[in-house]
Amino acid sequence: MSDATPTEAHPEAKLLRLTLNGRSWLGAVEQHALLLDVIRYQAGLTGTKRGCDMGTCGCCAVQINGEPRLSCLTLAHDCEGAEIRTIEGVQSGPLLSALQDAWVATGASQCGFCSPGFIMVGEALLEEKPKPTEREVREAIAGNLCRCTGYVKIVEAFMVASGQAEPGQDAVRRNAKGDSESD
Amino acid sequence: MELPAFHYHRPNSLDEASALLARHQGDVDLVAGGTDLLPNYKNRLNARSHVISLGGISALQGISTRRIGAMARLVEIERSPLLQTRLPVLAETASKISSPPLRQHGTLGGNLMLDTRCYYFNQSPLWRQSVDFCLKAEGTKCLVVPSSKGRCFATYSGEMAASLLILGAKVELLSAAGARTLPLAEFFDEDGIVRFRDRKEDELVVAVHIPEEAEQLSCGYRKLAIRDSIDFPSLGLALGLRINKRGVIEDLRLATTAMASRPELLDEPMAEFIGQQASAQLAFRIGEVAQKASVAYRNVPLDPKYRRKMVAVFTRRLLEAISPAFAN
Repeated sequence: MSDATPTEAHPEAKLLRLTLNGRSWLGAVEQHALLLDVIRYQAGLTGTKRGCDMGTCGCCAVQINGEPRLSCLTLAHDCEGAEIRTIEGVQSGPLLSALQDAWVATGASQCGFCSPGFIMVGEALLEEKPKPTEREVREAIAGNLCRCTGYVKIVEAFMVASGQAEPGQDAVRRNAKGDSESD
Repeated sequence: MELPAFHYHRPNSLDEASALLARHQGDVDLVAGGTDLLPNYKNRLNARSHVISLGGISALQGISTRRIGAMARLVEIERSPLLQTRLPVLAETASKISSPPLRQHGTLGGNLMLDTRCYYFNQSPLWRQSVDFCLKAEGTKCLVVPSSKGRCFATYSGEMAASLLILGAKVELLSAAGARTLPLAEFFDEDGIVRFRDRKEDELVVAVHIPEEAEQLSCGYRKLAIRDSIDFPSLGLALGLRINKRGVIEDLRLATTAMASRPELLDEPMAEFIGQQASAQLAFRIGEVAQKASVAYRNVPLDPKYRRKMVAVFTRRLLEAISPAFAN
């Protein structure tokens, strides 16, 4: 589509500037392009996944200026000048982030398709609340769907990453909404 | 899915925005958070050639107890310490809308102006073609009420509207011709395509105004949905109450959403209870009257009969939660 000739029905691509994982990125982007498509197909960062494409599953979550957002519901040109962080920008050099490390240690990934979205939402949560309660974790990830794990290992990973549990401790209750405080 | 191609505009001022709206009238949409418009565009539902993004206009921002800008995000309303203490029902309602990432996107104006939804409308082009297109997109007949004679029965699902209705809020609209303010109670139309009684096509919502006396109401909001974490409501009910020390009702306001093509303020049915003594029996009676005054269309999840019954249940529970005088 990007080489289509501009017509009344197909407007010309416009220049878009982003800071993508700390580096500046510049490209000609279709006016109707989604941030997700720019990240995946123009910047070539395929860690961000297209899941439901309707805002339900959270697989496409990235951080825009530090806030978790869904790139499938974000117009690329709305991000002019913004700082975008994707899953590729989470680790520092060869080192995984604490949450990624815990993800591996607890087995929070099975097929792995949803993991980037969870981690982008999760990194934002841990930045805001370094020691979240189980309930706060469950609320923060309410917009992310995982069809493999049943969420227990995922919540465990947050508890391990925030230093509140050790891997393999079965720190998370398996049948509750996480409402250890009164409702 | 790729979005259909359109011309993207990002004005930096209200004047620029209303000039753009006027210039492209009839073939333009406004986009705020994008959580409603963009999925609809992906499904090729009434897409236009011009889209105006409102994110760059600072005049649409801002939260106070008397005025909330249209581009105030739901997450900001949910977390505003000012609203949490002075108008808690607004923070409570915002906290129940959709999921946390979507509340980062969603805005007050966007939630208020949410397009109506319907089982036959919010579907892919292939799905819609297979059952024949509906009145609201490409078709000629309402598939919910085939005898509707041109009226669309899609359901309004904005949640902020119910709470704003009980607070007596007004909507500030702006067009190239000037600004005006309308009571929210007179803003919505009962037709799911028309949606607004007399909003002109080139008008945009700038802010919502809340009267000072709204702070004297004790309010609450309840939501019925299949999944708490993300779904649109199948019923949203906001209730506001002012009761004196002797347990006599001085003001009672009730509004529902996700039942019909517009949010409904049940002011007339509630009028008979003003001046009455609160009791468990009266809470039951108020619930019954609210249920009788409600209609529910069969085009969103959950059976209409059940949703109407839940009007009575939510009403009673909210009354009990707000005032102990209704508990015995």
